[in-house]
Amino acid sequence: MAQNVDPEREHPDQISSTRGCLGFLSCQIPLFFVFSLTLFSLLFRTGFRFPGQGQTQATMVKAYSQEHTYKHPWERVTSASWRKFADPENKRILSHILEVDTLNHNLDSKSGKLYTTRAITIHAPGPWFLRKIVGQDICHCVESTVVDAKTRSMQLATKNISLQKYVEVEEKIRYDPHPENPNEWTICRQETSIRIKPLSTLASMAEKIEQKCVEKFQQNSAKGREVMERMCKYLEAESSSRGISV
Amino acid sequence: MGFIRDKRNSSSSTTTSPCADLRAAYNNCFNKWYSDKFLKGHWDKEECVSEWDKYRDCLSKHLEDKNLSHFLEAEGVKRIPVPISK
Repeated sequence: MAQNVDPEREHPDQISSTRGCLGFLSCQIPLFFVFSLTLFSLLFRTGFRFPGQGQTQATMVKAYSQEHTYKHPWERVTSASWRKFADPENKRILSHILEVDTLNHNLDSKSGKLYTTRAITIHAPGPWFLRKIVGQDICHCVESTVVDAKTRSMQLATKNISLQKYVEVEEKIRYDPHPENPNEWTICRQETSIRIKPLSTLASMAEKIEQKCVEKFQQNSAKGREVMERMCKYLEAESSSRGISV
Repeated sequence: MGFIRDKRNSSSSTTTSPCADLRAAYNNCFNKWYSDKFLKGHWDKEECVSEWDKYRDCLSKHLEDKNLSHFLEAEGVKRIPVPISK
C-alpha cells in the first residue's frame, strides 16, 4: 500500500495503520497548514531566513494508508458509501460535512461502469485570526467515483479545491470484495496524501502541526467507519425485511 | 503571501440548501436504482432522469463557487480516479 512513493516527495513519512478506513473527511486538515504557512510568511517578511530557503520548489508530502474489513458484502458496503452523508443520524456524527452535491454523473451502459463527481463542503473552523486571514472557514472538495459493477470495484478520489495554493490533500479509497471471503466481506483500502506547497522550509514547523492533523484525521476516520458500519447494518435489516439482497 | 487575494475569496461560501428537497428526491431515486438495478446487472438504462434534471437546474442557479460550477458544466466527462494498487 505505502509503496506508492511520489517521486517529488522530499520528506516521505508514512504511517500504516489497520485501525480504520473512513470515507473522506480529511479536508478539515488544511486550515492547520494555513496557520503554519501564515506564521512562516510573517517570518519571511520580517527578514528572517531559514537554512535551505532557496529550495522553493520542494514540496513536503505526508502519506499514510489504512485498511479495514467490513463483514458485509461488497454490494451492501458500496450502497452504504453512497448513503452515508445523507442519513440524518450520520449527519449528526459527521456534523462538519455541510453539503454534498452531485455535480455530474455518467453511466457507461455497455461496460457497466458508473462515474460521478460530487462536491463536498466541509466546515473547518480555526482560530479567529486564521479566519480573518484566510477569509473563510469552509473548504470545498471534489470527489470522483467510479464503480465497476462487472468486476465489483468502487474507487473514490477526493481532493480539496479550496486553499489549493497552500496545501493539497488527496484521499483515495477503494472497496473490493475481500479475497478471503469475496461474497461476504469487503476490504476497504485508503490512502491519504497531504502536500504542502511550495515553501518547503516550512517543513520543520509544519511537522508538529501536521502531527495534530494526523490525530484529527484518525479521529475522523473512526467516525467515518462507525457511520459505514451503522449504515451497513441498517441496509442489512432493510434487505431482510424487503427480501432484497443488498 | 496573497492575503488580499484570500480575502477576496471570502464570499465563496456555497449554500445549495435551496436545492435540498430536489437533492433528496434525486438521492433517494439514485440509491434505490443503485441497489436494486445497477448492482444486479441492469445498467443498460439510466434512471432518475427527471429528478436529476430538476436538481441540476437548481444547482446551476445556486452554485456560487466557480470551481464547482466548472464541474457542473463538464457533465459527461469521465473522470477516473487514479487507482490504488491492490
